[in-house]
Amino acid sequence: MTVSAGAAPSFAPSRQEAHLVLCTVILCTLPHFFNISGSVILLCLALWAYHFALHRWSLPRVGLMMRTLLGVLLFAAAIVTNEGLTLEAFVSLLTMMIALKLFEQRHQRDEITVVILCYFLIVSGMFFDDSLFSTAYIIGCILFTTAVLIRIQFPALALTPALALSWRLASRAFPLMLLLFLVFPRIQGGLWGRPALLESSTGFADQISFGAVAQLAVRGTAAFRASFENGFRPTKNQLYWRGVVLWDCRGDTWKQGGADMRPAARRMEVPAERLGYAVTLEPHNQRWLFALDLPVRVTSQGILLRDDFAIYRSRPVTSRISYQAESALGVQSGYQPARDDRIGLQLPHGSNPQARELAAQLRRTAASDADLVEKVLDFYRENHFTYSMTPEVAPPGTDTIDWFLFNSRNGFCEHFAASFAFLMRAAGIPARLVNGYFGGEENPFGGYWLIRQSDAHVWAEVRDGGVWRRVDPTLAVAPHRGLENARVASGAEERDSLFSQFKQSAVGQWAASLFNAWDMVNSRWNQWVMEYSIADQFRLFASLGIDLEKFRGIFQFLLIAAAVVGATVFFFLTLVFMRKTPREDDQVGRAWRVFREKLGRAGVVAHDYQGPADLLEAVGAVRPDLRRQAEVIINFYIAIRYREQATAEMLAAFRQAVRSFRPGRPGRNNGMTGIGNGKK
Amino acid sequence: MDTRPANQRQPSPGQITAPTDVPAKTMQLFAALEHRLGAHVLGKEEQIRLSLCCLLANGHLLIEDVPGIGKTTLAKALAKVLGLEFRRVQCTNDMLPGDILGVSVFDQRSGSFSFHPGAIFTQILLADEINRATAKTQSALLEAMEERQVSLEGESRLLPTPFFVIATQNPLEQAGTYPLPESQLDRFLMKISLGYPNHEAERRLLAAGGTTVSDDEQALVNANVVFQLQHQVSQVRLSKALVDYLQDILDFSRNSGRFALGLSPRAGLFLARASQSHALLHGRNFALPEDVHRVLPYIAIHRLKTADSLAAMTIDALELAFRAVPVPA
Repeated sequence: MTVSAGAAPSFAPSRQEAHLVLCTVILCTLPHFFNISGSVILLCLALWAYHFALHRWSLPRVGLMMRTLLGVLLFAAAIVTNEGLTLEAFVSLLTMMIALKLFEQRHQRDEITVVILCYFLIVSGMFFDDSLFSTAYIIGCILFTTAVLIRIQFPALALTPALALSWRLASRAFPLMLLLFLVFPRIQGGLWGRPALLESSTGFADQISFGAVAQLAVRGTAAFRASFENGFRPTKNQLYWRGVVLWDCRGDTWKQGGADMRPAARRMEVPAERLGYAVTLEPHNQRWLFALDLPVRVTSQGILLRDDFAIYRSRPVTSRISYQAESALGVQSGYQPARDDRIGLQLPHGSNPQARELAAQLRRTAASDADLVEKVLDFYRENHFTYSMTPEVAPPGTDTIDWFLFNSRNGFCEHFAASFAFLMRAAGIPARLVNGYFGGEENPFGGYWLIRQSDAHVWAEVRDGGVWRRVDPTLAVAPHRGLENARVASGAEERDSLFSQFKQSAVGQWAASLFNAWDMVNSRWNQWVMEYSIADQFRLFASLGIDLEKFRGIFQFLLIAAAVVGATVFFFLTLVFMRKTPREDDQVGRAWRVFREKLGRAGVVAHDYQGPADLLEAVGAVRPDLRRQAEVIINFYIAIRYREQATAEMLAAFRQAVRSFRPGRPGRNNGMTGIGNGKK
Repeated sequence: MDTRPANQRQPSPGQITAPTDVPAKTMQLFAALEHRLGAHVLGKEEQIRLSLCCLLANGHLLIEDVPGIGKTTLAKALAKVLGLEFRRVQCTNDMLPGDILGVSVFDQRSGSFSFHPGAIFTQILLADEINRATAKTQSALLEAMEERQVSLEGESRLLPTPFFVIATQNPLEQAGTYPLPESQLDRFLMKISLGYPNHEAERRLLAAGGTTVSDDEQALVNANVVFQLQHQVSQVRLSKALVDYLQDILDFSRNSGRFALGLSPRAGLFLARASQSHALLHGRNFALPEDVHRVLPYIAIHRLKTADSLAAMTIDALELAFRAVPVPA
């Protein structure tokens, strides 16, 4: 006979089950460790460790007061460590609250809540990383989470059959998922657009802070991928990917400026042949797009091609996008004399006297503007400038351009381009900076070019007659930058380093081609699955002979209406069909459960597997004082359920007896003789 | 959680104070039966009750135990006390089906075949060490158990009613035995083992110099009464809630992944009938979940094997495993 030992909680998950839930939480949280701050990770680890230890050794439980306090603190921590209400803050909050919820397990539904929250947690990983690998991980986690959910509902099931069941469920849902993926109206960006990520995934900024510590990305992560039409293979020095144009020189820093920019002419006279290509841009949280110098047409929604040939988008790029572009290689952008003269020559007053002096001196000796440009480039070539990704920082208070030109003479593209443009403007030649990427690596498997963050580059443009001419002073100093990307170019002195030796070796070549293959698979995955858009959907329907464009509004309205009606009908149908037994029986069951719960509070744990007679024995053993009361109720129940001789009066009497059954808490009465000794 | 072994647990939910629906005379008869049987098999009240339960549910009984524990005594006592005809066969591996079922012998005087019925034409048949018989003989016997008739030379001969087989097998000696396959085990309603007597019972046994079931032992009832009792068992109410519970148990045995093979529909029928019989023995004309609890392990023990190692399970393990099935509220 089962006898409870005092007021044990009515729901106590087994240690194995508790560990299974903890395991689910950990699995679902792990991928977020890359996204949330270190302090949040530490807090999570601490909570998990305590929860694990709680089930192993009997440590003090976390009470309601403590949980409330911790909840408030963790909320604050999530907000503070993530600079306000960013997506990272929400994920941190979710992570920590789930870890905290582990301590509140009073009912089975608490466990279920934790596991269901895990679904949200793991799927939110898609915001940060939707590569093939992480998608596979997320799917694995979902399968596991479902299995744990099944396990909680049917504790008798071992984990392996639960996993098998979860797999079966998932594979049955798969066709439906595929159908919904293909035909369900895709809402691009959602109502408010996708929230911006705190971690800007690029070293690419909208301004250049000269002399500040170099923030240039040395990471090899992808910036974008481009595939050219008709199998065109550009040479390295054609690959100037134009990004943002910087007009506004404030001495140390260059900013976009460009409030005066107008859209580029719709029809442009382009003598050269146009080159078409498709770009798949990774999210960088800025509004501009990249295209080969010089872009003449970009097809995407909400795009503005300005007449300084920077491409802007109405909303920041917070998720991966694709666009088609056309460029005319070797063509230079037109000069707008009235405006460009005004803003192309602005310089802050008084700073960097040495540089101004140099500019004036060269101006006097130069025969023409073109000669002046050559003389400045010669200045870089002849004065032992060196290329480095980690240049010395100018001491505070000094004029940074003077310090760079005459003292350190060591820097990377930002330094060269910015100082060059400064000298040009000081010498009276309009100049501007272009921030973009230079180069890229061809993926032989996918037939596309991969441009990495480490390909980021800044160059200058100066007036040359009626056009803006591109001048890249970095190449004057470090010609090899034209062949290698920034990361490699900075190590040019150590050309024969281990790294480059490795790159040349057979293993290195093999690793490179392995990387290329993997990048290709990922890129196809992105192209076909992750970027499946409403336009693709229209194309799909069009191939089936349905033209959605024609009655788009009506169609969307009908779909939404159908979804709402369907959901409502489904909801009520479930209400009707999920109810197993007629109303009357339900009342008996409910009253019986109430009775058992009351007994539980009185110290008699009523197990699910116990029949009524055994329950009565348990009552007699633990609380002899309650036996007579319980006997009446149990006899009613047996008569109704097992003798099936229920009359309306009997039902009423049974429910009344349960209602008026008020056992005291254990310990308050004197009928405590049986507690804890388990004897009859 | 209660982890004491099954036989130390109070076996009966009979103390439930539901009004008694079974006539007092019947209850007295049960008490008398148990008392008389208890005089022959000392200290084995639970096994006596289970075997009565099994017979009243019209099911065959398999007793597995080491020799000399009182298996034959129990079978013989049951037959005598219930006033039934009793025969015994000692199974060997050179036994032929005809030895059990009977043979037709050519009678030269009448010039025709005459049938000489075998040991099976009785009311209680004790098949000792059934696993020593060859598969052929076993199947002849087991077929008769299921059909309750013998078909020989194109002629069906009905067996007497009631008809019980009490088979015994020895778990230890495995050399030269033919273990019963699952399909044949399924025909036995219950499998019980007697186990050694407890200290006090053994003392009584030694003091008395053993118990014998003499041939002039007075019967308490006769075949007719046994038949009536069986009918009464079938009238015990199985409520909707209880049938739900039985179904849950069967589902669990099949779908939980714990057992290699679930309970068969026949086992389900046996379970229902044994629960009814158990209820009647405790003076109720309706079955409770507790009745199911008490008989279930003995019905499951020769049918269920663990899924991972295909090992047989113990009564306690089975009882524990089926705790996963909640009684419907």
